[in-house]
Amino acid sequence: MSVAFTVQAFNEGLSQGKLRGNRCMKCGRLHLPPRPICRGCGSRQLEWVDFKGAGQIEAFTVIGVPLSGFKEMCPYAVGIVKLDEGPTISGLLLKEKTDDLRIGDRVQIAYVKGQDRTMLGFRAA
Amino acid sequence: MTRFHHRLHADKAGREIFVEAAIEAADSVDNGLELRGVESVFVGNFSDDVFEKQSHTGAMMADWLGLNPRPAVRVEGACASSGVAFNLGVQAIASGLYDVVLVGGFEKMRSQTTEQVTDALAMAADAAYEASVGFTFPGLYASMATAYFHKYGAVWEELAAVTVKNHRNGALNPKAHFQSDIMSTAAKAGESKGIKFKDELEFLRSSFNPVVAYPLRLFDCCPVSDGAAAVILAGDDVARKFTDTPVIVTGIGQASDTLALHDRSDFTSMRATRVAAESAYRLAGLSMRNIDVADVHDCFTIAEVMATEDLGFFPRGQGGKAAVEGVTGIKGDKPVNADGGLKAKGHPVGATGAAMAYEMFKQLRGEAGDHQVAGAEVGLAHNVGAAGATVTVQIFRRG
Repeated sequence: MSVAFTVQAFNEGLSQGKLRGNRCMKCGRLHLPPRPICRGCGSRQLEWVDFKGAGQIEAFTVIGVPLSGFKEMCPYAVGIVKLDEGPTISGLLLKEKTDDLRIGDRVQIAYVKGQDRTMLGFRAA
Repeated sequence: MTRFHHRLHADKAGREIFVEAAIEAADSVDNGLELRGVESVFVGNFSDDVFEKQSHTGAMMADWLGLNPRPAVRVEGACASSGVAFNLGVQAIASGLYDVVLVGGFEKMRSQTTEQVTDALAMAADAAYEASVGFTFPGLYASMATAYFHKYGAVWEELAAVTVKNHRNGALNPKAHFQSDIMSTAAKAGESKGIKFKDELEFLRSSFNPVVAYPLRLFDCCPVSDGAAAVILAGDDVARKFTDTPVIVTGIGQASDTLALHDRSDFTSMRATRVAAESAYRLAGLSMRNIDVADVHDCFTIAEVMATEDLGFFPRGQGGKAAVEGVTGIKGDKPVNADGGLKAKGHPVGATGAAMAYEMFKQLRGEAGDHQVAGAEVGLAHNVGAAGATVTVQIFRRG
């Protein structure tokens, strides 16, 4: 039996160094993270897809007032990356200096090991 | 509505400020209205579960208003909670089930530290895929701002014009959290260090205005406030019993969008605002040109700029310039947030949509005092949940 398209399955993928989403078998639409129902056509026939993790920055910010779990990293950059396959997703933007980030910058996936989980991140390609 | 404030309600619980707002609403009815005449209650609240460890606040408010056993419900749509409560109240009356309902909202946020509030607000975004990588709520709007700047060549100074305008308006509104314009604020802040600022921008560029989430600084963000707001809705056929000058709800709209910002095709515009506005304009038989006064959801300055474009007031990419040129000022061609907006009036999350309806009621009856928009006959309220996943729009006309 195939693995359900869950948050847990997505996170397990990250911990194994994989960026996993799904594809609609009816209309071909890609979803990242994976969803149970296609956003394009409503189909429930979907299959797992591994993304390459290469893309470009579409929007970003540098956080000055952090969430409680991110205090040690502050200030840190986070943003939205458009992957070459099409979908866009949020991730940490790993950079020594955060003041020269630009929209359109090419990035490559980085798996960021946290205390009890792996977080999705990107660094300059 | 109560005044929105960070200290004023420190000794009161959420139920007490909600009752205060409800009593003001009932007691202000021209020909009198017994609170007991309210047949149902819709209470907007985002997160009393976290802030006061209290759920089930719909029934609680009916209880504390002495309205049992009449039905009541707590409505949650993040920062649009009471905008949604308002629309549900309108629908309940339109269904014929009730003649008179009370809609309102409240939030008690100031018992929490900044860190706790930051964590709680992030719950309105996608916890699994946004907060998990460190996105704060201001961070999402900041990302919209960087995308917007990139797309239109806009600059932060356009956002600063929204800050200056809304603080100037807030200074004219006795219900506002902040009641001083930016130059007065700058003078007071600089005094302790012997600094004099020559204009608003010098202050807003200074270390007194630290970055919360680049490019948004402290004064680009609404404050964390306590407060409650409530209004009475009555059916067309009974409203004239209560007043000779009702304000008529002529159109409502609501829409949803993806919880995660990254799942949208455009980060510089909110589809849910466009869809909700289209519905409200169509029901009202009006267009953006007819709107004399508008309260739009400016939780961050960039949100006001985008809202004024998505509501059709200005072309895409021109919202910031409109603020710079004074078009959105109280005496401008398209007055926006004459009450100070969330930016200066404050944003007790669950109370905001109802507070916008309260403001429209005052404006369209010519009772808004120092921040009155002269001759306003048609008004619009626009309430956004989180980063635009829930949006409500209402259009009001002087009756």
